[in-house]
Amino acid sequence: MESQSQVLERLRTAFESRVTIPEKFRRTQLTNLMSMIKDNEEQIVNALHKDLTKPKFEAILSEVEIVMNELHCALSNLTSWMQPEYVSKNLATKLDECFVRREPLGVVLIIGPWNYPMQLLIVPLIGAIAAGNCVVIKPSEVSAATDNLITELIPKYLSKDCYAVVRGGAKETQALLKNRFDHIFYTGSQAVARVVLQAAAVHLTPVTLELGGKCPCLIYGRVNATAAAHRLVWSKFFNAGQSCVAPDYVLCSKATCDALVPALRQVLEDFYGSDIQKSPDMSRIVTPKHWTRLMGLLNRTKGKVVVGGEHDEKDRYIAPTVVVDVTEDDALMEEEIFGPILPILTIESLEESIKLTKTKEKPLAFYVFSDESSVVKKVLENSSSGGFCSNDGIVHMALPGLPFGGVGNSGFGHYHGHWGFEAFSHQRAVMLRGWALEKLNALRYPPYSDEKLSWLRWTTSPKSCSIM
Amino acid sequence: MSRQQLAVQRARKSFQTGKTKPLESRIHQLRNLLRFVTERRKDIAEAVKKDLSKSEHGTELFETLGVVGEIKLAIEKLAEWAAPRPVEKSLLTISDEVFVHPEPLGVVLIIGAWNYPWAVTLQPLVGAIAAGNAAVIKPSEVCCHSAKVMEELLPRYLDKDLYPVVTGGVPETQELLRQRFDHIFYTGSSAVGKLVMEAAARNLTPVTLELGGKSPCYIDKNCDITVACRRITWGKFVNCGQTCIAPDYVLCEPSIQSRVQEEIKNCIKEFYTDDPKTFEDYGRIINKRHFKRIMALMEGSTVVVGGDSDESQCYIAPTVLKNVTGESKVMKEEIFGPLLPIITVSGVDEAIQFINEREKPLVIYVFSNENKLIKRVIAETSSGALLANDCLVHFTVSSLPFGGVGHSGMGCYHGRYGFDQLSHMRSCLIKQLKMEGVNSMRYPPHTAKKLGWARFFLLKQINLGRLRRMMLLAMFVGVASFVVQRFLR
Repeated sequence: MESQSQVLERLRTAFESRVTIPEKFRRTQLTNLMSMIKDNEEQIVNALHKDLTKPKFEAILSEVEIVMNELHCALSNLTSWMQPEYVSKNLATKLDECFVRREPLGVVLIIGPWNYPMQLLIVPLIGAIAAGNCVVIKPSEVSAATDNLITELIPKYLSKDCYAVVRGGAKETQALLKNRFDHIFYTGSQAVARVVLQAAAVHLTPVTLELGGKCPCLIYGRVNATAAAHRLVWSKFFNAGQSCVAPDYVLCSKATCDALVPALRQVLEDFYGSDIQKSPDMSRIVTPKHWTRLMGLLNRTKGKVVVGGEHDEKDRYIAPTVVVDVTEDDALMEEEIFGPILPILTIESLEESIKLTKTKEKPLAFYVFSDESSVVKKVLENSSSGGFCSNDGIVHMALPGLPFGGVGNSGFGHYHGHWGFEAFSHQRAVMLRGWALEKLNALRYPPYSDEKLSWLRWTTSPKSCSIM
Repeated sequence: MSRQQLAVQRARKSFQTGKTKPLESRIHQLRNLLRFVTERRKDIAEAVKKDLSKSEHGTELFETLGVVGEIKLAIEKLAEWAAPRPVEKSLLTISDEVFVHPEPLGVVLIIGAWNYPWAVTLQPLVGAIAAGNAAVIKPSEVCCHSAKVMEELLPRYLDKDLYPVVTGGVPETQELLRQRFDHIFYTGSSAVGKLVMEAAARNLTPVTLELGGKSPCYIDKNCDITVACRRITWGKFVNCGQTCIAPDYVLCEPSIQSRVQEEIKNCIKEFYTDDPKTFEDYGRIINKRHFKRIMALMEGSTVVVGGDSDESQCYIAPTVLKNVTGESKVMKEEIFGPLLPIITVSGVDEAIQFINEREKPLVIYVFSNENKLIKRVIAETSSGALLANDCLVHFTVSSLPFGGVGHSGMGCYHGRYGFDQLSHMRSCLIKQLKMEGVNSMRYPPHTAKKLGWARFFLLKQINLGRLRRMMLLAMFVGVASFVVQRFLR
């Protein structure tokens, strides 16, 4: 079996041979990736079910279709993405060609997480391939069945010289990070992100970090409680709450809470039936360790469980649970929950709620439910987060036109669609001058003078072009 | 609490009041910065003269002209840059608002360099202010006179709390780097760049690194060698070679080597007279440490032009070296001084190979009459930027991103790029709570039928442009057939 350094050497040699540069090559690889997904949809769904008991519907929507969508987007737009971008000039440079060229970075590393092990590995891969790089793919060992499947399928469909899967746990990942990459794309936790950044600093490698955080969900003003409950339940309990953009906690007034809780209870029954553990549409917690962590939070909470609370250790099952009377210093407010527990904090005023969210780290997503646009506007203008969505959850990340990424503790950099192509490209400024007008250049040569200077002030100002 | 902690805390508190949000307040600060640069022209020029022996004209040309341009551009374009940017929608979000909202990051740290102490400190500041951030400004202590003027005078023009100037050496910079920022913008060496990135890692702070490298300059035998050498001489010896984008070394075929040497020699004489030491428009090395460093680099190479020096003045004459190979001392590090080595190569193939064996530079220069050759160099190399048939001037085009790649840096700025670099591009989806019926296809209990609909509807992108065109076409066909039927029967 190849060592990590042998893999890297092979990929670097391939990149230096410039095989990934032509558009045709990138198209072929993307098309093959599409075939990989299409041909193996059933195996993908099965692997995800093994890892997370992911319902087929969720697997198709959030791991297959979203990837196919991104592939379609890349294939439709690759030609235009690869075109040089001509830019405006000043008078002194009017006769020159000035453009920005998107160029591949080289050999990049993509480290995937376990919660959406296909999507969060393959969508960045699409951007990296489209941008012309060679890629080392490191799937999460926690979602073991998907890890196995990806390791088996990638070499079958993609060029073995340019794309390699490297497997392993923390030790192997640390060893991998000692190598020099031209970009590292990491999705996961803040703790590991620090390790990734420190390793990247040694080689001056640029990084994209897709992390998480506690995504708040504010519900204020006039609200259609039933519609809100539907969307809140769907986005919270999708993948059993194990989504980086799941609404983590709710802030609302007592009256809203009193109207919301029965609505949530009803929707949960409509969605999953009266015995949720028996529903094929509810996922499980990924590992016993995470199950124990979540049960710990539930046991330590000082709030009141009003919906759910049932659990089964052997099945790694925790019922969709709603906890009210939660305060700021509760166990459930300590860290990102990443599970099917929804705390509701009762705060009477919108202003107080906004104030509370400002005391916390910037999250990946920020949600507000309200029929009043002034409420939505107020929250948008008084918060900071990776993304923002009103009156729904999660769906903003399914639009390839929107950059998906965090800010502050929730990460930096972004991808999806064109943004993914840019994330893995170098924007190279190119300027092609002619030989003429050397007399004009004399203005800049020593000996310097006031007269020369005033001409230069005029010819290099961006405004001077508008005269022409 | 240390001075640095205090400055950062005050800046954050001030930022949190929201006073940088309104565009008018940002423009107000930018106008103040413009006033500073114009009103204090003399103070700035005097400081740079003491630091780098740069003439007043030289300072205006290479430091303040660029800053003024950037400020004016930012003032003019701010409304456009800061406006929400609409985005393509999907079939299902067709009635929703979907846009990217540029937002300030918070408190930015700007660490300046000593070679163009005003340009590389104030130009990032323009981007920071325009994007609505607070900014802690840390000028390089090596250009001590400029740092002093910045510390004393800038607070008289800009908001003291939002844009504090914090001076100091290595320990003070380290203390500053221990604080938490929302972005760090560093201009300087790759070695320190690594330390900055490492410090930033602790707080997961994104960084922009404007570093350096050895920028190669290939002269093809098929070009106007006289003009090429004029432009190269100018680009090299501005600021005594202490420019991150100076042509570091020249690559050319042996057949033109003597001609190149001769032309450069003539240009040096033309630009800087027979005695550059006494000439006002020729500068000095920043300090003795760099003077000694640069002098040591000449070891092992042959001086063909210049070579003389005066340690007491940190003066090194414009110098050209030959008999230089890839292993020579002068090729081991970025020169950052007035030494121009000429290395012979058999042609563009070897030149490309030579360049690719080394770290990616901030810029690659190529001089040639042949477009094909230039295109080859573009296609087969990588660098921050590429400029054909001139030196340095790409820096003045604010619509071009200025930045490095690999060891020459990450991120970019100038013009809109500076604004974008120091903003957070927040994705926004504004939905209504109505049309709930449509959502039912995504809710459990999941059925095969729902899945079919969901696959079609939920994620499909639509090309609004094309849809509109198709609708227009359909309308046109409808109207045309109506007209035909009604009037042309």
